[in-house]
Amino acid sequence: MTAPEQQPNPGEDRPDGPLVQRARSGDREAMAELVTRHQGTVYRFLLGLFADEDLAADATQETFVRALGNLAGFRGDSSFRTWLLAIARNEARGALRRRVRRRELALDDAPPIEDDGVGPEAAALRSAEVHRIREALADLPPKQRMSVSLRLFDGLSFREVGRAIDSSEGAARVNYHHGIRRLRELLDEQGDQVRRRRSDG
Amino acid sequence: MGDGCARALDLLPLHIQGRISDAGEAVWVKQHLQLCGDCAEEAAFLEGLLPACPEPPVDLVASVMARVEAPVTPSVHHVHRNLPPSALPNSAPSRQRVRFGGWAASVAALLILGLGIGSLWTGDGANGGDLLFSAFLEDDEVAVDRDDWMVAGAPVLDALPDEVLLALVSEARR
Repeated sequence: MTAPEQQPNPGEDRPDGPLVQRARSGDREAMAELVTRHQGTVYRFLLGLFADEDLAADATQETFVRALGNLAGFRGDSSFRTWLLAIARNEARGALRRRVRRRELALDDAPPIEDDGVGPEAAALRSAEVHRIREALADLPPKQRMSVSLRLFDGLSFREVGRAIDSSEGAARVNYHHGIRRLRELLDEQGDQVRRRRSDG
Repeated sequence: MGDGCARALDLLPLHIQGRISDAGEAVWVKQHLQLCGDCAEEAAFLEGLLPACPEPPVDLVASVMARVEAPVTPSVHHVHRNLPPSALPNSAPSRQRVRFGGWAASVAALLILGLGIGSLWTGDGANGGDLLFSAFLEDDEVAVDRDDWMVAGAPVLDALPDEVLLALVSEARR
């Protein structure tokens, strides 16, 4: 039996419609709020596609500039978030062009972890763990990576994930579960390697 | 895997972040986790992944708003800043100039893509190029440009002066 789809989006409590209306009339605050609400989802979707933070950040910015400049094109047939992700898919191609142009192939360093008040030793351990997980995520096939990211971090329904990755709802569910299983295997393998190095050393 | 595990596993990402909107469903998942060690372990594993949630750059909103508040009028100069003014048509009405700018960008993008695709494919970065392409190649829809460069029919390359085409090719090779 499959689970009924939920509406986990923060937009459930704070519908985007009124904001979009205000943004259409040129309200800058409403525009900024739309970006603030959805930047994480769009960024993680693009990061899932590219596995490259710089590229994902560039394409996220382009996505929002494009979307805010074309709000009249949003007819409300889908959620605003789904519409944004469709634009992001297209902007991904623009990011590819820019990458080819610059001949830049960025390294996959994890960004610095913000100080959360824990001690330096605990912070270092946590930073290493975060880095380890992100490395494993980057090793997933793109559709699995995007499905895991959108479902786990952003709580999208499988239907929304499917639309974002251009697959069916069922395929999105399968990609998510396979991705989680593969992620666990990769993290286990990493753990085994660390333990072997320690015992050898 | 016991009864209800598939349903629970589907819902776990929402459960661990308190995002199940249906109260009955939320209670059901909690009860299932009390009875099913495998699903409880999976929930703990997923919770352990959450700190690795990637966040966008902190200045992204400001960057977007700065660009939205200072829109650049599209033009040939905007699309290709490095083109010498002499290489640009100077008698075209503004509407044509905008459309021409779109064509120039499209032609340049195609040239750049064609010339540069080899270096990405060979994967000297190896850190996303192959994944990137696999993602694109398995997605035919993405391979169709959304820009309006084909909407009005085939590109009118004849309309581009030779010096513009040469400049574009030269720039693409750079």
